[in-house]
Amino acid sequence: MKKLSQSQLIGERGELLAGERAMSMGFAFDQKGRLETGVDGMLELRDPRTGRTLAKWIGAQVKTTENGRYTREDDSRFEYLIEPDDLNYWRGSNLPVIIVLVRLSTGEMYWKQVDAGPASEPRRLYFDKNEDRFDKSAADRIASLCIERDKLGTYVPPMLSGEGVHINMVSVVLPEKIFVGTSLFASGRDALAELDADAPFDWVIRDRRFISFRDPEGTSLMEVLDEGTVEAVETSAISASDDVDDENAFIELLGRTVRVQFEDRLSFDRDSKALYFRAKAMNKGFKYSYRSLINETSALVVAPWVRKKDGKVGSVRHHAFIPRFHRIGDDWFLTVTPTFVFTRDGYRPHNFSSSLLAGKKKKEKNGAVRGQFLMWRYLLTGGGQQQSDLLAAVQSAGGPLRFESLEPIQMPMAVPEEAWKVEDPNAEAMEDREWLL
Amino acid sequence: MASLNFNAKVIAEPELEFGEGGRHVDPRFGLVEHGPLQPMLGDTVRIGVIGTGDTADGFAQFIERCRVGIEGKNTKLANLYPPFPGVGNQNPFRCTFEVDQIARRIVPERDIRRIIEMRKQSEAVTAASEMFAELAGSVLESSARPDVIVCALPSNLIEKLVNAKSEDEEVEDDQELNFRDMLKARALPLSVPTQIVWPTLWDDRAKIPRKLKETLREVQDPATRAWNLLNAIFYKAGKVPWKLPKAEGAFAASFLGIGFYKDLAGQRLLTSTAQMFDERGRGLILRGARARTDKGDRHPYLEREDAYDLLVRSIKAYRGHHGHAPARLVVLKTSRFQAGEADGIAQACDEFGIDRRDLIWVSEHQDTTLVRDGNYPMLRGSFVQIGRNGLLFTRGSVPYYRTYPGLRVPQPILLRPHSCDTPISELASEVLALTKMNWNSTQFDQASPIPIRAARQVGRVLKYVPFGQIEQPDYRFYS
Repeated sequence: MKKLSQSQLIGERGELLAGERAMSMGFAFDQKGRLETGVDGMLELRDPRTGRTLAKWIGAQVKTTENGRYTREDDSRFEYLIEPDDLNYWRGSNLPVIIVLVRLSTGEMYWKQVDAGPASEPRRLYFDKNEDRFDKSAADRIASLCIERDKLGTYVPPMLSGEGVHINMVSVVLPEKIFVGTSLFASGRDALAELDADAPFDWVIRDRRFISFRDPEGTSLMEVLDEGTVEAVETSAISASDDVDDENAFIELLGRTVRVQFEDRLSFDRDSKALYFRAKAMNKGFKYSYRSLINETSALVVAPWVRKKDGKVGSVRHHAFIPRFHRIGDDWFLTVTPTFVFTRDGYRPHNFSSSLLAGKKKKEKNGAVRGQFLMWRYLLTGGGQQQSDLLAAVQSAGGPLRFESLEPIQMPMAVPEEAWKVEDPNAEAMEDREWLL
Repeated sequence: MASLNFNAKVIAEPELEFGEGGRHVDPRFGLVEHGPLQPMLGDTVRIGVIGTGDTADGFAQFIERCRVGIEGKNTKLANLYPPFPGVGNQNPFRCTFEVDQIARRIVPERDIRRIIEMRKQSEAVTAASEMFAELAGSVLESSARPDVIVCALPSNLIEKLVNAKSEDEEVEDDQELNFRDMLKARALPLSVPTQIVWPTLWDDRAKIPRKLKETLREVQDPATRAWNLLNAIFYKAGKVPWKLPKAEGAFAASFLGIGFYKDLAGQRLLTSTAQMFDERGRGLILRGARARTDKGDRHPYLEREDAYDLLVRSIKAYRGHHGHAPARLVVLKTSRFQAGEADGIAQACDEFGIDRRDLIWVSEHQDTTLVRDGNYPMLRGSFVQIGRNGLLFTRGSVPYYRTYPGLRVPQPILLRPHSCDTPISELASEVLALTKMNWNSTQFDQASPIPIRAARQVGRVLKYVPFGQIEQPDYRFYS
């Protein structure tokens, strides 16, 4: 009678599952045949872009259980003790060897390099259920096991785990109508002289042509316009025009409109062309609460710096961004370039603003740029309300322009950050403590 | 959320070609493994030196130190900080470097002091560059014919020359002069490439004067210094360390970079161009006509006739070299193309039967960028298409180095096609490869493609050359 034991069957199922998973991660996987003694299969690295196999191998031993629990297992971790003979065997290997644990009932798979155990008890492996999952997110760390540290010039390309990245833009939703008219004045500057100093400047006059998202009828603006010429037209007549002068005038209009639209909270710095958080009181800082990708958080957006020598405020740092409008096809976008504006007390300009800014920018990391962008995006898109209630967002923004977040861009390759930071002496310097998300 | 089709990809690190057809992404590994593209087996690069007794000696000692090899800085980042293997068995350049005693000129301390005591920085720079150029001339008149002349500056002179402000604020000195650029300009008629070195090259403990620290980057580790110095000297001595591999079936192309610079008086805006003839990076410098600027004063451009004239000269130069016109012409410009300018270029191409043309505005200071969710910045080679334009990270995290080899958050460049026959994503791959054709560094993640970088460097030097003087056509004299 021919027999196949239950444990043989379970072992084979585990190996097939692990092999399938390895291939889904982009590796080549060969299950070893009858002569297997302690390594079930071989992973071979493959350049995901070209498909070229790289002649870099990793041995994999698969340990399968039907539905058993591991030692000291809880929701986040467990331990696994390797057989002494196995460890001895693997230690003599000329290739890196990993162990893959498979639990058939739940489909869970975890991996670890076999010599990752502590020096005091090398057979005991500590698994973290989140970090040590055997799936795409582990591909770069597994591949990096193949780097020969003492040999110059070896490296492995990033595996195809992919990642979403943010572009520093929001899309601009334009009002349907735009007001066009003829002015009595040739330029905005000439017309402005005729108006009250505090009248909102969210319109453009170029070559006597007036454009605005706000209806000038019944406002003081009519004083500079040729009565009877004002009409509301489709915004696309100008926003989608192929004329360069139209485009430039429209960009100017968008810039002025956004300034007026957010003037309750943001001021405009002429030198750097940046919008910045206005102080609420002399020499006082304040925090802005917002929602980043996942968390409720806040940032000190107006921050006084106190001099050590006399305890007085030396400068006040304001979070700021440079808004710039771009047209792509017939659609409009706003790029958000995070920066800072420095004042002496929250209001008066600082004499050394540019050198303070340079010092600040020099130390800035990827995380800080991202954190600032997400904060500005939150503010511009109406504080996250738009998804639930479009109308509320329009009202809360209190102006004609509406901004929408863009989906993250899917890059086909991720920075193998987890694999790199183990050895990279620069890794720590790249952390940004101010903008932890 | 709104979405756009961004056609995102990560362009693989372009390979370079070395001796005997060997290829690798990294110049240093490629040189060790395959040797330079044009080996001069058993040959010697002769170096002339001008400096004080101390600096000339210090430089000669460093060349000695290079001979035996220098340990790498960091074993954990071995690919970024590899050892310099020396010029013995594993000699990456397959030739020797010799400091020629006959080609040595010692600057008397008295002359250095005289310059340091000058009140105006501009006077000091002028005097120093004239002195070094004169001594270089006397080296060339002797029996020695060095391939390259090294100017080894003492610290106190550097402090005087590089310091941006005149010490005495009352002395009016609104003309900031640059010693390096002025020296290169003065040395142009001598037809010998020069290399400026500082005591930080050979002296690990040499301090850069504190007031210069802000403007200068950190001192590199000794092995990296050896790599970069010898590679630059090798290139300046007339040899090509590596080239871009020619893709099969690719058209013979000429890459023309157009940059702009102001003349010394700050009155006239002039065009400087650098042309890369072939994949070896052989190039030619052409000085263009006076440039115009558009209404906003932001985008310099050439008049139609001037653009036409420049292109005709450029194509003729290519033809003189190859015997035929290029099949494809790529013009990289640091500002927006004007219609007339593009017409002038098109007319020149028409006359020479060049059908494939790519006119690209390479915008290096622009505001669109990408940020990742992690701590490391984007991968070098990350590319997204935004409308017609292409956003390209030429700096960023580098898989070969397993780190981000930079300090600041990298800024991508925006490729804005004016009129292009080549798809933007292919142009981006070419631009990325062109960033590696910079022989002044052996670290390959350079920010600008070489035609743009070269045009800019040429402009910096030509600023000190009166218009109309005969120009050196070879990039080696400007780099």
